[in-house]
Formats: sequence, structure tokens, C-alpha cells
Amino acid sequence: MYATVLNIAAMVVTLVAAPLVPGAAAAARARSAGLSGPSVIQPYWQIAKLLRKQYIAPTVASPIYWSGTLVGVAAVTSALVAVPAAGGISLPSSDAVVVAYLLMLATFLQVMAALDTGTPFGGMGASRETMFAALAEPGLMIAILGLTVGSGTTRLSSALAMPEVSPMGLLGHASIALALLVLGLAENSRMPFDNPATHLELTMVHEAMVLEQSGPGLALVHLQSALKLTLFWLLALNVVVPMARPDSWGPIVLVLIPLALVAGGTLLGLLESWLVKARLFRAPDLLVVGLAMAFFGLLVGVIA
Amino acid sequence: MFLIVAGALFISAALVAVSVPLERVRVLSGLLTTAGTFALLGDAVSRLVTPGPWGTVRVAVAVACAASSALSALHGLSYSAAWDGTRRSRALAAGFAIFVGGLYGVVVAEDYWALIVAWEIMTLASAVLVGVDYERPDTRVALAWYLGIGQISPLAFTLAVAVAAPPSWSIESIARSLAAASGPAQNLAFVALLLGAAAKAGLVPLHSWLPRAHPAAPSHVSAVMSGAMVTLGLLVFSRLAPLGAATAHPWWGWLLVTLGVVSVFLGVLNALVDGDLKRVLAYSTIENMGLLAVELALGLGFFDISVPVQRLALAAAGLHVVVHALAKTGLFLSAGTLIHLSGTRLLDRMGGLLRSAPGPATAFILCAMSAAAIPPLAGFAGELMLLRALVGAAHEVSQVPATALAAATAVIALGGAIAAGAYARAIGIALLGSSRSAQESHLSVVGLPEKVAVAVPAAVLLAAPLIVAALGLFGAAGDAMFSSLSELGVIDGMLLAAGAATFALTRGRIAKPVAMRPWVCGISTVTSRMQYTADSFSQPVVRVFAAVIRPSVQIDVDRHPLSAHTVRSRTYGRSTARIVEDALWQPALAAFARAARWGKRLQSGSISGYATWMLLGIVAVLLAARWL
Repeated sequence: MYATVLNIAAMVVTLVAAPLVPGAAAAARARSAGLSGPSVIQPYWQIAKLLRKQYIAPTVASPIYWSGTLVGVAAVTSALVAVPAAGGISLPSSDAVVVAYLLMLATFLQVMAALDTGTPFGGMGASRETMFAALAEPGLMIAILGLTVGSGTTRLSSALAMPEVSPMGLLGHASIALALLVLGLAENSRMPFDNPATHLELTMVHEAMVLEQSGPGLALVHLQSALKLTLFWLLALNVVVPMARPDSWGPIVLVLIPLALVAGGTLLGLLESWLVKARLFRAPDLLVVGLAMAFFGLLVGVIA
Repeated sequence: MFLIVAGALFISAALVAVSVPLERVRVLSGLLTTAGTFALLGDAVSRLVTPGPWGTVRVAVAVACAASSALSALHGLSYSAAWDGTRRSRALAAGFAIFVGGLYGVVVAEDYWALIVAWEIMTLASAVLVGVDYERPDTRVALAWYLGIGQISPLAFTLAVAVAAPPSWSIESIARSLAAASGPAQNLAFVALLLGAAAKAGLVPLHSWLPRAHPAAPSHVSAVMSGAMVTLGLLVFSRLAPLGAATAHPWWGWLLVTLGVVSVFLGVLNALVDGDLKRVLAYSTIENMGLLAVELALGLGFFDISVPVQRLALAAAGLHVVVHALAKTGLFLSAGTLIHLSGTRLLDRMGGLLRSAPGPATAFILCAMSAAAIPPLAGFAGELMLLRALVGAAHEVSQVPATALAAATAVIALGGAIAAGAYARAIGIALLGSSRSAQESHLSVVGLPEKVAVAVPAAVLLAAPLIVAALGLFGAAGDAMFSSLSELGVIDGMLLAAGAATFALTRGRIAKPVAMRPWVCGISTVTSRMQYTADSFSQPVVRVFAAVIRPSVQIDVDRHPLSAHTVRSRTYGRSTARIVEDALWQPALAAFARAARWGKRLQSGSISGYATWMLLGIVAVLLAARWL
């Protein structure tokens, strides 16, 4: 009972604190460039402002356009609360396959909403996002399966076992962590795959896809990307710190989660300020490397 | 009881189709066929609810065949595209009644000869339906491929039965004889059975008929062929194969897994690049049959794995058969209506159909999501069980096979993501955005049976997980199937709750957008030709998988004869290589043609030539009899 309450509290805190990740990333990026930059809680103000604005959709858009945006947020939310570090260890969706497919649902709906605008930019962004997703989403699933296969299940709880202290086991674990980093950058449209701050349509990937979104729709797009970023960060945290689960840490975790999210965002911002955007067709090479590292982790998992 | 009624109805439907006045064929024969398919549905449901001797896969195939036939027959009642009031209507009506009868006959046959007769009835009747538009060259090519590859299955099955030399013709005794046969005989029988199954399922080297036959046949025929008929080969394989001896031949399982995984990968990649809506669906069927092959390889005892993992894989196969049948039937039926409304099968000529035909388009989207195993739909439950079974099996077997199973898992995961991209492309280009054709779709009236037939599979696939979760159907027949569906139902409930919370966050304003002109870099008008096309959408992925797809671009520039700087026209074409056909079928068919040309020389027309050949033949037979 106590553990359940704590887990639910952790989920709520994670969901509420999710916008801290992009906020901290933007702040760290600005600071490292010598700018004063926005505050860490800027995304909250932005989402609140957008929620109050008018919602405008292209003339040809069908109900898929707004319902896809809505269900996309729901899908990423359901996936995020299933992560052990967010308290989801006993949820039925706390499963590597389910999490990967919920993210696929969100991407699928975003691609459809982009094509529904009937504009060249929507199609361009959707097409490029599909290329990234075709490699990154299976990579994510393979990487997590590398952690769970040792116990013969796909449950995320079994990914929390401490890695075997052997050169092979640690190598496999490190490979999975690196794969999550590379694939996470691609899935969240960060450097070097995409520049979330760009305003040049021809180089946009994710931003081209959501170019038509406005007001509440854009607020949901921002919210979804914050939730997705949080999901990847907490998953990576669970790989590096397997014992990170709220029910074993006590109430202090409710303070630790926001701190962890700010720390993750800061790390991301520093990493991004150090990278440059790669050419679009260089990105798949890096994604294939990420996929290969995830597969290496899976191989180590089945052999060990 | 159900079967006798259904058989009588199908025979009378076929007789009515060839005898009543032409304008009554559709309704009279169609109603009789529909009644017969509902009798089949009664039979399948009674076998599902009362536990009988049939295994999981056989019950699932029965349900799939009955449901697919019933929906397609209903759709055919008002699907005006298929009925043009000429004599071809008679062939179509009679052929369909005979086809669905033969289809179900293959499932219920207990005896080898009954099976093979039903199989041939099914194949020939469906060949009539594929070739009903025989004036078109494409159709004749499709028919040649369909009949050519269709020959393989009965020949291969009969070879396996001959190897078995069974004491009686019942299917059980053939399987028992094969299980007791010697090693080489078992190997021969296994390869023959797998060949027969792969030809009907469209597994990769034998897949060429699917993308040709489906566009050629009327949509309600493609629906039954692609939804139900393709699973029959694997059903016969699972009933005849000497499964008890399977672990003695480890390569059997690996052959099946390899065929499955290659089919998954090539199927989804082709679905992502093809520009014809029905061919995209055909390639998706190849992918799904590949997944089914992997499920059967794990579930039928080809690997030395524990019983719970085998049961999980078998339940995945059963659920996959039913869910795929519903989704593919819904997809082909709604695609038929959409193609009829827009007057083309090419994705690049469609667009905006969700607004001009919301019903069929919504059904298409839901069924497509299920076929791509995307979560809220029932299709995901099968994929979930398959991946769990693969992980469980990789955990249990020794290191080398575990590595191979891990590779299979990775390819299937990759296939899932590419399938989602392929369906997002088909939906996004054909149904969303604005209409690309100059004339706005010539909207004809869509009849009520057609609407019902399209809506039912989509509604079932959407609601089944929630209903199963709500009923808490644990411990029912085929429990793993229901428990994964109810697990998905709980996830769907979470999605609903999260969606409702998000809706509340925007205070409901997300559902009420104000329509405005979109942004196109300041150009004043947006035309439908500015939209991304199907080819441009898949171009980045094609570039990533260029080694497999081998795209080539042809640009022809027509210059003015007087001045090379003046270009009169440019034509752009893009094509992709069919690697299996180019590497395997083209040389094989060329060799066959050479052999046929050489063989023609025997037909010299001179009596002395024939006499010489006869003499040589008799000598050869005598020599063979002397030494063998």
C-alpha cells in the first residue's frame, strides 16, 4: 500500500516536472554560449501561454489532425509512467515492447497529422521523421530487451538487475547505455540529428512536421516532446543506476526526481552545445551505429 | 449441421448465378452466398466456444476464413465496382460462392483426398476470380503467376503424403506415418510440406503472386484471399508435419524462421516503396505471413524450449491469424470502396479521401493500425506475444541458437517500425491532405451492406481489447490469447484516461480548431500538387536501405533539335529492383523457356522423327527396367 502510494506520487511528480528537462537543456545551452538565456522553468510559461491562445488548423485538415496530437500526448504519458524510475514498475505497460510501441503510436500519429496539413513542409518533416523512427524505435526496443532477456521476459522490472560484474557484462551494459544516448538524441530530435531551435525550413525535421501547430496544439507538441525526453532520460538512468525505483527509496524520491530531471536536461544542453548538426543523410550512419550497439547489448544479454 | 446448410447454400448460389437473368445475379446469388458464409461463421464460433479436438491454429483459421468470407460476401452485395452488368458478373458470383465453400472445406477436411479436392476447388475458383478481367494484360500476367505458384502446393503436399505411405487417408494417420518414417524420408516430406505452405502463404521466394493477383482481383475477392486463404498452407503444414520428430532435425525450425524473417523484412520494405494501394496491402500480407511462420516455428515444437513459451507462441499464432484476417479483410474492402470513389489505385493520384468518404477511410485507418500492430488496436496483442515468446526462447536455448533468435528478434522489431512507416505513408498520402486528382471524386452511393462490412472489422479490432479486459475473460479457451488481449485492454484504458486528462488540460479547445490557410513560405496559394508524394515520402528510407531496394532513377530530357539549351520536356521515372525475382525467378523462367524451345524440336512434324523418338524411349525404358 505504502509502495503503491509512493509510486503513484512519483508518477505525478515526474509528469509535472517533465518540462524541466527541455528548460534545463535550453538554459545550459545558453549559459555555455555565454548568454544569460531563459530560466529553467520557461517551458511552463510557454505551455501556459500557448494553452490560452487560439487554435488554428490548416483548411484541409481533418479531425485526425487534432485527435492525433491529443492521443500522441496520451501515448507518451502512458509510456513515461511505465518507466521504473518514474514509479511504474508494477503497471501492465511496464514492458519493453509496450513502451517502444507506445512511442511508435505517438510517431505514427504525428506523421499522419503532418501529412494531413496538405503542405510540403508537413510531408518533408514526416518523411524524414519516418526515416529516423524506422531505425531508432526498434533500436530502443532492442536495447531494453538486452537488459530483460537475461531473465527471459520483456518486463522492465527485470531490467533492474545489477549487471554481472564481468568484462563482457559491463561491456554489454555500457553498449546499451550508449545506444540509448544515440537513439534518444535521434528520437527527441536533438543535435546532431536535428536542431530544435532552427528556423530554417529546409533543415528542419521534427519542427517541419509540427510547423502548422499553433496555440493549444503547439502546447501539446511541446508537452509531448518534454515527456518523451524525460522518458529517455529516466530509462537511461535506470540502465546506469539500476536500483533507481521510488518504492525502494522512500519519500525523498519526490524531491530527487525533479533534481534528476534538471541534471539530465543540463547534461543534454552541455552535450548539445558541444555537437553540431550533421547533414541529414549522415544521420542514418550514426543511427545504424546506435542500432548495432543495441544489438550488441542484446547479444551479450542472451549469451550471458 | 451448419456445414450442410452452408454447402447447400453455396451450390444453389452458384446455380442461381448462372441461371437467373443477368440483372438479378448480384442480389440473388449474393444473398445466398452471404447466408452460406453466416452458416460458416456459426460453425466456426461453435468450435471456438466448445472445446473440441481441433488445435488452436485450426480453430483460429476456421474463424478467420468464416469471418473474412462473411464480411466480403456482405460487401459484395452492394459493391458496385465489381458488378458491371455483363456476363462477367455470372463468373464473379458463381466463382465467389464456390471459392468460399472450398476455402472452408480445406479447414474442415479430415481426410487427405477431401482436403486436396477442396484445395483445388478453392484454387481454381479463385483463379477464375483473379482472371475475371482477363482483357487487361496485367491480369493475364497475374493469373499466370497465381496458377503457376498455385500448382506447387498440391504437388508438394501429395509428394509428402506419398513419402509417408500411410495406412489410411486420414490426416492424423499421415502425420503419424511421417513421424515414424526414416530420417531422409522425413526430411524430404518436411521440405515438400514447407514448400507447399510457403507457396500459398506467399513466403519470400514464392511471394511473387501476391502483389500481382491482389490488384487484379475485385476487392472483396482480394479480401478473402489475403485475409484468410494465405493462412491455409501453414494450417495444412501444421497438421501434416511430423512434429514429434521435429527436435531431431534442428534445421527444420531454422528454415522456417529464416523464411519468416526474410518475408517480414522484404515485405515491409516493399510496402514502404510501392505506389499502388492494393500492392502495399499485398506486401503487408507477406510480412504478416512471415510473422506467422516464426510464431509457428516456436509454437509447434521445432525448438527445444519450455512448454509455456511454446504455448505463448502458439497463442500468438492463433490470435495473429484471426486479427490479421479481420484487419486485412477490412483493409481490402475499404480500399475497394476508396479506389472506386477516387477512380485510381495509385497513391499519388489520391488524397483527401478522409473528408470525401469518412466512413471507409476511418475503417481503413483503424484496420491499418491493427495490421501494423500499433497499440490501441487488437493487432498489437499478437506482436507482443510473439516478441515475448522470442525473448523467452532466446533465454532458454544454448548460446549459438540464442544469438540467431536475437537476430530474428531484431529484424522483427525493425520490421514493425518500417510497417508503421509504410501504413503512415499509405494513409497520409491517399486519405489525408487534399485531393490530387483534377476531377473531384465521382461519388457514387455506397450501399448499407458495404458500410456494415467495412465498419465491423474496424470496430471489433478497436473494441476487442477493452471488452475482453472488461469481461475479465481469464482462463477461457486459449487463455494466453485472452490474457494478452485483456492486458492490451488495460493499456488502452490508460491511454483513454491520459487522453481525457490532456483534453481537460486544453479545456476542450483542442477539438475546435479554426480553419486557416497553412504556411508555405509566403506563397499566396497552396495547391494539392505541392504536397509530398508517395515516392518523395519514402525516398529517405529508400536511401537508407538502398542495398536491398536498389532504387534507380531514369530522367529523359527531350531537347530541341536546333538548340541544346531549349528543353522541350523532361520525364522522370523511378523504379526499384525486385531482388528475389531478379536473382531467382528470372533465371529460372529463362532456363525453362530455353528448355521449352529445345523441347519443341522434338515436334518436328515428320513421322520418321517421331518413330525414332519412340524407339529410343522404349529402349530407355527397357534399359531402366533391366538395371533398376
